[in-house]
Amino acid sequence: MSTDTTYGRIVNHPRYAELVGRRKRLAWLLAGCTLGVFFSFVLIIAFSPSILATPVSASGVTTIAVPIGVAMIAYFWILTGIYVRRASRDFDGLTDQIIREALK
Amino acid sequence: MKGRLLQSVGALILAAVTGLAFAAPESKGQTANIPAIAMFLLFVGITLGITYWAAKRTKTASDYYAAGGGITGTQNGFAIAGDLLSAATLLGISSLIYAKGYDGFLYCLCLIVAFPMILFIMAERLRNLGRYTFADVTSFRLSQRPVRTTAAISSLTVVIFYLIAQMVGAGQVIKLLFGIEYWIAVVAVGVLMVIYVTFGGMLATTWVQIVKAVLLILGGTVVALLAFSKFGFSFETLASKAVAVHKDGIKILAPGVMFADPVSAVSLALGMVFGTAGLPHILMRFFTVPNAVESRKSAFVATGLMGFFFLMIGLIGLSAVVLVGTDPQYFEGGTIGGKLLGGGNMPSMHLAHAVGGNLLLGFMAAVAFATILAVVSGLALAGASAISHDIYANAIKKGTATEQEEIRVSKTASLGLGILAVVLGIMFEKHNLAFLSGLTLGIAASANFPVLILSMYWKGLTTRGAVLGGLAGLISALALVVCSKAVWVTVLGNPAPLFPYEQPALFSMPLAFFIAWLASVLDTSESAARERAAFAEQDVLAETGYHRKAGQPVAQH
Repeated sequence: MSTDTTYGRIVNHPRYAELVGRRKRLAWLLAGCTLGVFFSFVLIIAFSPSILATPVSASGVTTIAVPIGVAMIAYFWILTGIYVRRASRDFDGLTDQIIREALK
Repeated sequence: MKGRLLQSVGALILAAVTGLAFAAPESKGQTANIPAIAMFLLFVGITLGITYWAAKRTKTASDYYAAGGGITGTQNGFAIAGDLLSAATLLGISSLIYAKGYDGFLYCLCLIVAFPMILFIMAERLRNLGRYTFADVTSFRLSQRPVRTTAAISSLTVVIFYLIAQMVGAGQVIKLLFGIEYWIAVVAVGVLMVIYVTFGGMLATTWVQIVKAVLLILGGTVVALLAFSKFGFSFETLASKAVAVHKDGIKILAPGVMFADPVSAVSLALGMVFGTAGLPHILMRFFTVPNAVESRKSAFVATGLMGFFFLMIGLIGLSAVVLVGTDPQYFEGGTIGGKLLGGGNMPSMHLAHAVGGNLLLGFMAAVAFATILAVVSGLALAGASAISHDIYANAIKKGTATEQEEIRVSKTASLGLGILAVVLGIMFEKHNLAFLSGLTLGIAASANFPVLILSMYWKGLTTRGAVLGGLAGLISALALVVCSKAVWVTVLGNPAPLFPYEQPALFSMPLAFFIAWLASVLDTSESAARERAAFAEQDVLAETGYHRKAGQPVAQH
């Protein structure tokens, strides 16, 4: 395999490590937030579902499972929104800059 | 010539379906729904128009497999949501909520989690490394022939099982809603699917999926809101009425017995989350956008659309408890609490009738048919691509096949898959296929996902690890499902299951990871060393996608 010179220049670009590191931290942080909440919920269902049967108010029948379910859907969508925003703001410009300078 | 052929085939289909529409009222036991048939014919007409338009624009392999990379992030988001929102979601999950309450809603939550995960750890890398199939990514720095062959085998297994489930569901639903014979329904789905895929490739398949996703979300919202209006848009009113009339009472508002066993619950959740992230027809969608920016956007749009639709499905299922479950006209013999007309999958359709009369029922029936068509087309294209791009062009011809040869093989393969799907769909008409959904997701989670994730993130993965890990996932997932109650007892008639749980993923997915790791670290061959060394460059490509921006060809080793 020949050493691609563009590849070498990108790896050695002073800001490449920063790009990779920041994106990795963001992606795994958000993935952790997603799976952490989701599997906590699954484990509550598996081991102690009665917690979720608690009514929201003393007079009504709606359980806290309902708003929690809706909130989880909203939460997952918001996390994807955060990633898309952060990635567009922080990573795309940086990536373009690194590629541009490496191709020079 | 292609255009004329398409037109004539289209005319044939239209004639056949119109003929059915007139013949239908005579078929015994079911009544044909004229608005449904009219709206379905309109959908078929529109999609054949799309296919004709797409066929003229589909020339190269990139056009055929990936719509030339010209789908925008928003369009792709609709298409991805459309792929996941199958008839099983519209009919199956709403009927689960109708029957079991909150437990049914849990399926929605499991399905939606997959998309943030795909976005955070897969979407950009897939786009930067792959061209047409996910095996492009797994085989990027590994030996083409064995890795692609393994990936194609597991893709085809997933696609064929998924197709059977959709075909059987299609036949039953269409038979009921349109009053036509089961086999005619299955053949019609098969023929239309083959037309979309062979003539229009990914461009037609994507737009059929987008049109259907818009119709499905629109129709679902109308039904949900009309139903919700009967309760003054108050969830508490709806919930208290549902609790009052449902045989399980207050229990329907909280998780119940379906997820009571911790092992099964975790296994199901794992299988659904990572299985969705390993479905070949979903992964393929990330290759239809021009760059990583658009691929991120598609995951965001898909998550939002699915989340919204799942909330509507929740309202539909719960409203049906009150509006369908207490109305004798929806039960066989008019006995409330007896068998629902048309079977257990029908609450959402009956609800459409209850809140919007025959017109809305007709619309939703047409949407259900459209949904099945769009989903099977995506599946067929993914299966055909595995055969033509992975097996034929790369494993057999080792990259020497011309684009036209590759496309021809793909079209032949989709015809073959269409025939296979129709034959299997007719063969399995009377079988209980409930286990298939667990099986397909279990296989995708075990055979595809581990190898894909390791190939992108772990330097140490070698060809041997990818092949043995993939096979271990595939075989163990298959074996565990065969030994579980759904197949061993229900289908094969044995007294007790060999494997006590319903879902394989908790066991087969870690096994696949372990075998892939073990086989890789034990691999001391020279080629393995080369593959490990090639990771550094692959990783830079995955991080930046510079080879695309610079207009350089993709490096293939």
